[in-house]
Amino acid sequence: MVRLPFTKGLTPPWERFGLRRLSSPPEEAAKTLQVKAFPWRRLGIGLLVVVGAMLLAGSLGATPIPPFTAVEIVVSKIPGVDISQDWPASWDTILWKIRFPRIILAGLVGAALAVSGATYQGLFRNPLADPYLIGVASGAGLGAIIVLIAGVTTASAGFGILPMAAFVGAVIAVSVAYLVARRSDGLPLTTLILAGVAVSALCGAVGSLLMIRSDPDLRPVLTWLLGGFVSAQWRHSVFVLPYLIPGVLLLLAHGRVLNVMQLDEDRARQLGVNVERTKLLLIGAASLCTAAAVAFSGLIGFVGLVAPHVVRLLWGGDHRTLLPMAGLLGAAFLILADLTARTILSPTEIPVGIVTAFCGAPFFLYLLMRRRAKV
Amino acid sequence: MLEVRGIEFGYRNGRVLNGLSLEAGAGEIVGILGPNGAGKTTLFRIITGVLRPSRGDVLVNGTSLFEMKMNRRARMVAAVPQNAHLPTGFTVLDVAMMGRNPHLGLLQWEGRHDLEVAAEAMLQTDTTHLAHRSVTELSGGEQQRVVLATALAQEASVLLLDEPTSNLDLAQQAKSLSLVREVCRATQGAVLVSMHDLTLAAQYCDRLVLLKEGRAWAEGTPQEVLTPENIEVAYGVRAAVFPNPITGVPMVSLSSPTEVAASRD
Repeated sequence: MVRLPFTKGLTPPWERFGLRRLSSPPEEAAKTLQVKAFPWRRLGIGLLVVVGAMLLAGSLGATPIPPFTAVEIVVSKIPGVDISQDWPASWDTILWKIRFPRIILAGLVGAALAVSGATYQGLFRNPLADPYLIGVASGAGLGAIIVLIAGVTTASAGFGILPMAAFVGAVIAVSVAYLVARRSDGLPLTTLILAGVAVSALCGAVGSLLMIRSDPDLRPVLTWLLGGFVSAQWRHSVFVLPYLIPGVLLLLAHGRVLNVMQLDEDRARQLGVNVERTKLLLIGAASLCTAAAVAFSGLIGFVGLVAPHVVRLLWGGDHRTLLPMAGLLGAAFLILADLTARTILSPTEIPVGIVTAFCGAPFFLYLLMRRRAKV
Repeated sequence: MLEVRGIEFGYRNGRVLNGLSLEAGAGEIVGILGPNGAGKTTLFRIITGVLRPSRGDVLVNGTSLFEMKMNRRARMVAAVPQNAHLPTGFTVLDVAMMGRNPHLGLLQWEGRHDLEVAAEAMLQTDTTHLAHRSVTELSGGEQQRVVLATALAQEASVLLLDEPTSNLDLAQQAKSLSLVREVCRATQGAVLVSMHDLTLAAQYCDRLVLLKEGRAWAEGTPQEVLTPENIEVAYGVRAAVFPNPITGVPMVSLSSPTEVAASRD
């Protein structure tokens, strides 16, 4: 209700005659409507949470580093900034060479999985969708198993062969599902999900068969399958970024379009959305982001499923808020999960996939129970 | 304003539209009548660009809809589907604002003007007081008005309504059709509305088109179209048509087969 300050103490004329207006007339109510503001404050909160998680993860560990010193060390890395070094050189190495590459990669992977998950959930209009729904995970897994069993160890361009194979496997699996589901007049999403499930099952079966029929040391594959950031290096983040930045930006740009697509496909067309092109763009971008994220970190579950749901519970279903906030929360969640993974049973590390599943699965069960209560 | 020229369309199991042509002028409400399966919904899906006809063309102000991009077409043609699915997690204002989608670029945020248009559409459809309610908790009639508000917010010159009265009670039917007529007169747009209730159609439409076998079987004023002969041919039922004692527009009353037999004796 717009109230001019100088009318504040005055009695409205109709009330002076003993009339009370029960509710404001629609014309006045219409004037009080507001354009939904760009969610600056929420994004700010999300960024603060991510920075807080990074700081926490930077200072905690076998060698604790005071948070303020950790900030100083990071700032001293910015070219042109000169801070007198009053910390042991080993801290510098621990923070900059070991912890930070992990933190950054975990953040990037968390953001990629959460934004892709939110996109799939919106696109398929299915709250149970996650980034691995249409074959990324099993395709990547099969790729990793094949190179390991074939005994290929040649690294290319400074990267291990395993991430490369995982990336290629993921892209191939999604492409097969896509080509199978595609029809001349468009892409039926239900068929795509079914094709993805079938491709996943096939890749899983072939992978299991290969693992049983051969007996090299399978620990690298198992470690990869469980997911983790143990061997994270700066160049891993550098590899992931060229896929993540355009992919995530493309997904974020489609927030309003995804809102309209919640109506249904025909309605979205009637409201001016080029539905087929949008589906292709979003599925392609989300799958590439997921494939790049999975290549180095392995299969980390529940981030892409849970982060979007938390945002939905807190701030509603508008994808213009949902996509960026899910990305930020996913990043913070995975950074903290990785921190837990390396500190909780220190000096041994547990795979981060176990931590995310440990937090994510009960939460997901809780969501399902809420759904059941609603019906 | 809207010109449908010789549309032919078939699904896999048979032809639905067979050279259908019709026109709607500025400020005119044209009622589309015909039995189930006559092709009313298919026609609407073609005009909104969901389906593409195998032959024929649809022109708005002389421009073919099939040569336009999706968002340009959505600025010219708005539709209210029969059973609109409304998603969870969105308020009435959010959904009304979705009507502004074709006017906005990919990265553009809704502005002051978009809000004004949406607020006006909500005023017209009497949904302003629901603005901050979640769309899924509304009644069927309220939901239908929200969908109409979305269509009005598109500011299109052609408005299609598919069975707009099917879920509404008597008062709501009158209210929503009067509203459509007001909007049509005020904006001088063309309105196409498909209906099952012939009496209601005669009351609110300027012209009627009766579809049969994918073609316009009869076309003209309600008096010209709603004759017992036309109704029997199109629907296969006997009906009595008599003028409304107050307004003179035709009213249709079905006669059951036994009554028909009795009257013959």
